Amino acid sequence: MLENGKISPHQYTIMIAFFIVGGSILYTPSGLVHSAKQDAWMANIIVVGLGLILVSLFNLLGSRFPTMNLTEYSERILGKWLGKLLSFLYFIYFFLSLAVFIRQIGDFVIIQILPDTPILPLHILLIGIMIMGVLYGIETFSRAIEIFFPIIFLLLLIFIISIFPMIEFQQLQPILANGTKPIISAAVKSVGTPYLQLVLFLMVFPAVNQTTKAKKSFLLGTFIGGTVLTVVTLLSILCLGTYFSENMEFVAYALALKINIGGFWQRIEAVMAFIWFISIYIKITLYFYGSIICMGQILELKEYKCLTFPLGLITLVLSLIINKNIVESDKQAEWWTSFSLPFGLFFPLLLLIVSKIRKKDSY
Amino acid sequence: MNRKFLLIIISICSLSLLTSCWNRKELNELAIVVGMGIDIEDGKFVVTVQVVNPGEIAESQGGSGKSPVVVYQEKGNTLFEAIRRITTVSPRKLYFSHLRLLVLGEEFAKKGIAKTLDLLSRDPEMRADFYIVVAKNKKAGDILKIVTTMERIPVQQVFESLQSSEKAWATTIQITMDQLIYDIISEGISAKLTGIKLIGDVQDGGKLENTQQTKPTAFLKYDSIGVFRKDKFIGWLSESESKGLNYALGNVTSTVVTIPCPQKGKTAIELIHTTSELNTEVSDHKPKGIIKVTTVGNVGNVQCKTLDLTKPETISILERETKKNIEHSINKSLYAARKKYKIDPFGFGEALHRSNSDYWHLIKKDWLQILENMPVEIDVKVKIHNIGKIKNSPLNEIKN
Repeated sequence: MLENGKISPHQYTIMIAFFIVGGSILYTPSGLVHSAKQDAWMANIIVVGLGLILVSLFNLLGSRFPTMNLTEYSERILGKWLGKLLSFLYFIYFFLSLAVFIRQIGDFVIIQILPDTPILPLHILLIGIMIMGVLYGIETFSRAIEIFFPIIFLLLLIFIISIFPMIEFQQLQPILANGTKPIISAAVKSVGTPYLQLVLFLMVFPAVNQTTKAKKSFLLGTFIGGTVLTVVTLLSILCLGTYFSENMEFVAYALALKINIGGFWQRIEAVMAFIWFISIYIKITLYFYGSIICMGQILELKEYKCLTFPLGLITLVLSLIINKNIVESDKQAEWWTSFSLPFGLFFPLLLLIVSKIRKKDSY
Repeated sequence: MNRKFLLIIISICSLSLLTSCWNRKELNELAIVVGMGIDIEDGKFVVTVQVVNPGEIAESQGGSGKSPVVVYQEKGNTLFEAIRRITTVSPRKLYFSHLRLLVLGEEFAKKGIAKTLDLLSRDPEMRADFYIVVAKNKKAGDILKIVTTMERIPVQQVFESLQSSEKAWATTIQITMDQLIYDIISEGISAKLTGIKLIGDVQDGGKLENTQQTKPTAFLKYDSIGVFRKDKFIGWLSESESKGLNYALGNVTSTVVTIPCPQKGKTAIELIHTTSELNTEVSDHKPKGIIKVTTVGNVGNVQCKTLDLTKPETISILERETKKNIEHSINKSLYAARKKYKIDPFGFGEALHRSNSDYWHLIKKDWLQILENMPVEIDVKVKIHNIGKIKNSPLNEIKN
């Protein structure tokens, strides 16, 4: 057992909600609006539903082995070497996702906030605090998240209320103009970010101190995160319309730029950026934690902290070379779902079926 | 203890040294652009910017009699090139986040404005909250050269005047970048922008003496609305047509309607609260437009002897006349848009797309021809509530 820290179900919920909001609050609308147009919010509701089904699958797998993480029981179910191979694949998946998300932050800051700054110092700073978070361990980290939660919640609420005066309900019409087909296809395409990625939480699952409650909080966290994303999508369609929701590089940020109440409550887009920074920081730290535990398990280490610095440095280089430019990373978002599909759906399903057939569980 | 102390010292030092201001620009290194004008000359973009002169704006120091703003002008093959070339005349780099007004020259607008939209929405320094106007019969550069009296920064005056004129007179229209882009790219609505006119001479208007007179020899004035086909400017609406368009678009809150009295003279009704709705419906494969205007007004000014404001019937007469006037201006604007210019600034197409999207996709191609003869039902409801401080006009008492 590499991790001895324990977290409460409550912290687990918040962690998951942040994870979902983090990667996607700036991006979801544009991908969904591209195919579902003004009905994108409905697509988003369907995605949340699909996400909850996925989470139930993860829960089923996780609660079969309440004290083990994904890599541990994949070795148990599939045998040592096959299990290690699968763990290694998961390691690659987590690690690549980590680099992609770090690059997303870098790109965002450079495009919107600090246009002439090189990307390297930004990544160094980010990876520095990410390593710090993992060194302190999951217990301290989740307590930090708990402290952030009310602040972010309040800011998000302020943000949503400030947007209200700009809403134009006619932007939603015509409802279901092209039938349900584009909505469902949009929903299926975007289930990859962030719901398939939730497989990462099978690495954290055993750290939750009450297994039965952990299942519930997994579902609840997904629901909260999904709701926030749906609201943001809805607001961006209501305020910006379909053309801008689709074509803006960072939709939610563009939304914040438009806020202007009474000529003085304006230019609060930094609030949006802050919400995003905090939540994506939590997301990348969890990814880093996941990949380190994965690696530690494969190498059968007694302690994972020695891995943080070497892997952190590799992440730094990887995050710089993973995309050549922003267009490439936009394109990447399109095939990311297919890339996540084996990890987020097939492998967990395979593990579950094999464990049922071979009658393996933790006892 | 010692270690803690050291840590605190280090943190304080890093806080002040590592502020992550990689490419910081202090206020005194920025040229804050408040107004930008775009013209075209021999196929090249001519960009004019109005930059604030901060030393002259600071009220407390009184200023040294220099101009509160500076105007720079440069040419370039692309807009961006022209903007950057301005650094060869300006001592500071231009900063666009506080842009309030974009003026497009009429000549340039006729050739198509789409090329400018890209830079203005791509550049992260640009915020989409500035207004866009067209310089009537003039170059945009000339408009930005005029100094004004009420506000130290001319663009600020023009900006506020656009807001107040839309609010209280309703022949102008506030269009921001995203609205303009939407109007241009959407098939069911045509773009429209307010016109700004220079009265007097550019040479006079550019001098500070212009502001030292009670009535400046050169000044700026908003005119009616100009309409576009796709991104090309095609003509101006008249004042009453502009008002009609604004009624239909729901942009009117308050305005003044002048109506004839039953016998001789005129009465002005002040509309204080106006809402409107624009819809379409399809029956028997034929579209129909519906414009609903609901307004509440007061009697503002009576200039005839015969009006007896003590009788309720008079109020209904006034209501009927006001209704007629509003319907008339909406009809005029419909005529101008559909028959004269053959465009759809009202957005009937968009309304049709919202209400009957299947039908819209069928007729999208021939929309403007269909619109030309589409019946439009205009439904105006007027309520006059107040007549002001006095009952009958003192004019009634004058015996002759």
